[in-house]
Amino acid sequence: MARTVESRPGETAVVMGAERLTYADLEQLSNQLARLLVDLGLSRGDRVCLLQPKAPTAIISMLATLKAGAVYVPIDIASPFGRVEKIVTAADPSVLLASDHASKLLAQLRVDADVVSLGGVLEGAKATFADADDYEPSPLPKVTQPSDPAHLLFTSGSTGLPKGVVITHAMVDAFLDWALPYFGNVPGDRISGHPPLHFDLSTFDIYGSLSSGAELHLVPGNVLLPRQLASFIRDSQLTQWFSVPSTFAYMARGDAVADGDFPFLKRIIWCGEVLQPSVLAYWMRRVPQCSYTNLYGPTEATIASSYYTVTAVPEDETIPIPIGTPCAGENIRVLDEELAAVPPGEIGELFIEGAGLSPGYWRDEEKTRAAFITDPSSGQRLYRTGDLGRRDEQRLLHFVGRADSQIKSRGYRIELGEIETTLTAIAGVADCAVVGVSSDGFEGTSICCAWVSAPEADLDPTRLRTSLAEALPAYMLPSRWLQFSELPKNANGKIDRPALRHQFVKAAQR
Amino acid sequence: MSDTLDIARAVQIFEDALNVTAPDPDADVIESGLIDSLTLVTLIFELEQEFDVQVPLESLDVEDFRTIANIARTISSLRREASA
Repeated sequence: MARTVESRPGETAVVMGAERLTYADLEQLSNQLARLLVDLGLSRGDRVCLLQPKAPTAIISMLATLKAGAVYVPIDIASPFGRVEKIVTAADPSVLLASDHASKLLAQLRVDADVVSLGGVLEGAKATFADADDYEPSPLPKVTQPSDPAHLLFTSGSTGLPKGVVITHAMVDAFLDWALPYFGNVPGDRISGHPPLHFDLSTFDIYGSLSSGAELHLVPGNVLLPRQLASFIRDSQLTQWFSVPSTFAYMARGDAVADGDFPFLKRIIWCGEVLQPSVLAYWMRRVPQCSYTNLYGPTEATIASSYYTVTAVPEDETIPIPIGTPCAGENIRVLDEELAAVPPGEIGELFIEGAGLSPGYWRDEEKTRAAFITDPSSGQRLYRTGDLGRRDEQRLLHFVGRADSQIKSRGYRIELGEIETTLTAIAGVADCAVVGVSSDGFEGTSICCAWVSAPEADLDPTRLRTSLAEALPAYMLPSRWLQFSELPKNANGKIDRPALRHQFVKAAQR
Repeated sequence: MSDTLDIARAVQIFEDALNVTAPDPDADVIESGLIDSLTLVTLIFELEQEFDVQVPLESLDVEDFRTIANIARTISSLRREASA
């Protein structure tokens, strides 16, 4: 970024709606805010929670925090207060950088941290963004090491307590070292910023764009409908569109993409879930000049760890798209339960090793030890993804499903076992099983509950859902229900989950 | 089904699907930032499941989703069309 500031200071760095920041603006404003933060006593390694919607000021806030040597924590301010409170408390911040959108949350939060207002009037704010004008716009001396944390991203944990994944400067650099040459990013590229800033994917949008001298075009919150998203891509003349599969499916179902649409677009990239081949085919037929790349990888290994660029429109729409080849600097190993490599073609659990690995979960030794293990044979650190996969004869990786009962539904990571445990505790439930069924729609996986009522119990799905809602977050509530007199069992006497999934698929087709 | 009943169910789905506290039925959920394009995908899916309708994404208007009262009205009219 420093190179662009020096050689092309007037070039656009960040755009959202009518707001536009040049590289010189971004550099100076973030230097000034960083100096203000240092003046408030912020030091290396301290946390700064960002309580603000996606906006150019949020990007300034991130850069300012890093320049002060501190660690930013993006917060989803649309979350219920209880969740925000848990995350902010866990992050233990010294400063809250907040906009007036967060005033209600701030009024309830009891945290010992200085509030800096980014706009509007916030009660009790120690300083405002305007105060930063009084500080020097020159660069600050660098105080961080590559191994220092740069930000914390909180993801859903199996117990309902969000886990903070520690992302270091070196992890982000390692991903960009692979991604920028691979995708051929050049100055003047127009890059989308669609996912919210608390999503891992936005890390690539922001730093991929700024470190290649490109323009970052943040998608405003009021761009909602399929055709509005299409207009955004068209009118911003984007050269790169990076989003989650549900968005691609949503736009395809809304038939928002015209033949030969988006003439400036060079790259389409998706990550986070499985993209239906039929949806991919829709896009590839209408926007044929683009490259189409599937990225795979959990937040714990930074943005993505493997990639697959699709070369032709999928002919057979029942064959899933491979997750491909490890990104440079990373390795993905397919291992069995004893951590021994499985032969090509056989299914094993995917383990990631290499430069992208997080040092672990924020202040959670136990969860870190469970997920980040040491390979007994090589001594290498490995991240256990919990994903099942296989390598084919061409050494391409394929995603098969989850090793445990975790599923991804509309972006959320959900432990099915936790739903079953909660259901079993409800009076009148004699037996139950919760399975994930992937659907053809844009929602990814549906949570399906099969249940058996005790003889005298007076239960129905509405009552079960109401009882469950008292204990579980809303996104974990099953959306489909089937009552059984007895659950199907396999030869070993265990619940036959594939058979159950089949029954739900059949029920949905009726 | 009456619009009042649909509003109650729309509020429930809004809170269940998006994990946010639903505001007043006439409050603007778009300008207030409660809904963005990613959450709208989730909301439409849940509404389709719950009310057994297909939301016509091609002809959808932002106003159809601007408030919870509007969402309930949109769903009611889709249900009437479906049963007609």
